[in-house]
Amino acid sequence: MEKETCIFNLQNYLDNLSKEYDCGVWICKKFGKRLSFFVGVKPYKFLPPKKIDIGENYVLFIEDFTRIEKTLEEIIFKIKNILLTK
Amino acid sequence: MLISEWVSQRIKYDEIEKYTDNGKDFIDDEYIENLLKDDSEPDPKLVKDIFSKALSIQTLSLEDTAVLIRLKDPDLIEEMKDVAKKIKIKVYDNRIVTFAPLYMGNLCVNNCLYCGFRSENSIIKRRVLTMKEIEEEVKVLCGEIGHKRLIVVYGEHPSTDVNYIAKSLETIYSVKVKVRNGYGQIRRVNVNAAPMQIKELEILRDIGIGTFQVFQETYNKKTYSYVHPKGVKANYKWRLYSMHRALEAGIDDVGIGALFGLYDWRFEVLGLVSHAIELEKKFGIGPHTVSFPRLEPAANTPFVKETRYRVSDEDFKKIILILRLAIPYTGMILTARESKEIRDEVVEYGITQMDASTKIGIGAYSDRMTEQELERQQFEIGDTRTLDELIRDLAKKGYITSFCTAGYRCGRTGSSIMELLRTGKEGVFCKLNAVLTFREWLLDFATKETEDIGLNIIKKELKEIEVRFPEIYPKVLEYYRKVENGERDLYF
Repeated sequence: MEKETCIFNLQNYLDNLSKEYDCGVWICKKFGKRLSFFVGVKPYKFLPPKKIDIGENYVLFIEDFTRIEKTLEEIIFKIKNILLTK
Repeated sequence: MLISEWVSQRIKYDEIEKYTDNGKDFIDDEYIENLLKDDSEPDPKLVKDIFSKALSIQTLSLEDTAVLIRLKDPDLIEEMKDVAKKIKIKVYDNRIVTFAPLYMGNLCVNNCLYCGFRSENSIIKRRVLTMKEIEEEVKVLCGEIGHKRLIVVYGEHPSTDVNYIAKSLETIYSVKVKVRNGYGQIRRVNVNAAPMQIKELEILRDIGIGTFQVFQETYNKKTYSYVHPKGVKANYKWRLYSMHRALEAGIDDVGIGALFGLYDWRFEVLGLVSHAIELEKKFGIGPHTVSFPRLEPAANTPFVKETRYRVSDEDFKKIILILRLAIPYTGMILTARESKEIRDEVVEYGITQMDASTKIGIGAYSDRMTEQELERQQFEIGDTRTLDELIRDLAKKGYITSFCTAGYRCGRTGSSIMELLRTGKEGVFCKLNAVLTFREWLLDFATKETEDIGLNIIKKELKEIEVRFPEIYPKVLEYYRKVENGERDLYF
């Protein structure tokens, strides 16, 4: 149940971010080189995504990084908090 | 542990039954045979409706696929070729991804009648590569030939169990070789191995496997039992549900396949489509790739000559066309088992991946084998072109070779990539990443002749990107220049 709530909350948060900054924002689970899609808004602007580690197991991808850069710390903090509820 | 004891512990029956429908699997032999009884020429209107459905990247039903199987009208078959090509361009653009197979060992507990590596074939020289030997093989593959993607192949045997596979993947990923202008490295390792247990698949997932492939060989149960008389492989359902277990374990790129020539090709096509439909239904994820190898001669393997189901070139071409339409989002792998002539022709029918500089003898790359040695190989290969030669030939046909391995390193996997494929978005990534990775390869490995032809293709691609995607073109150029200045492994 906690996992489902966590995914739901993350999806909501990333949906809002995507709308605000007009770009794909998604989180992957890390398995060695393999990064499997976990939650978020898939890429749609076809820009090289910026990759940001979120702890040991997750990676955040931001498609149009320059638009988000200034608020990045706050975003990572929020995502980590939601992931902690899992 | 004794081999017999190891064999007896392989199959977890609860990891079969949980996926069945009250013990019944998803291959309905009787229904498929009934669909194939009708041999009448289909109504052209119905055929055209099916073409439209495939063009909108919808998976075809078994009934629709059976209609295409019945199709004999030459004009409609010509139209089907156009449809296949359009689907391929829509989903994957005009790129061909290249890879190399790497055979890790030929010890096997199974005794498949058609296989050179079967346990009772006494003339085969048995060997399993050590980690040091794997490293040597990979140095040639990524440092001399320039491959970025491998399919590693393992026999079913305790000496190549999941721990060996995991260690070998780590070894492959660790090799980095200085080359002409940059460095060579394998960036995606796909695995072709025996069916595994969920806990074993989780080990491979954690290592960072690319695609996990298991071919059913034949979907026909009676034939399956006949050609797999003993060993773990004798259990049809254990193999049939391999992909269910992989997906449950979190490996969300899976590859299916059938070995054409064991039974009626029409049945196998419907088996593959049934498999894709089942995976889509249960997991929302279809096969990342489909393989359709034809049975080839193998050392001391009379079955291959005796089978009455050998597939003619004409039928083989039809198989590819039908699969392209039936599972329009999937990657289609055409290997060097086939001759150069066949590969050159059918690449136009929607193929997405090809191997080159292929050697399938154990340790053959670093041994620098120039001739095929059947005693070291599972079968005989038909196209011995080098990667440089294949790339040149593809370029002459207007195809760009791609070394892209971006998808599984930025979350374009599983259900996520399914949506991107169906909507044609992945095709845009394919185009952009093909340009960058092809330029890399030309700089690091190409002969002068291939580089010249390759640069012409890139010029054409860049022009197309500029016209179709003006808003991202500056970024593409920026990355392209970075590659020319020595940066490597950049992707969109």
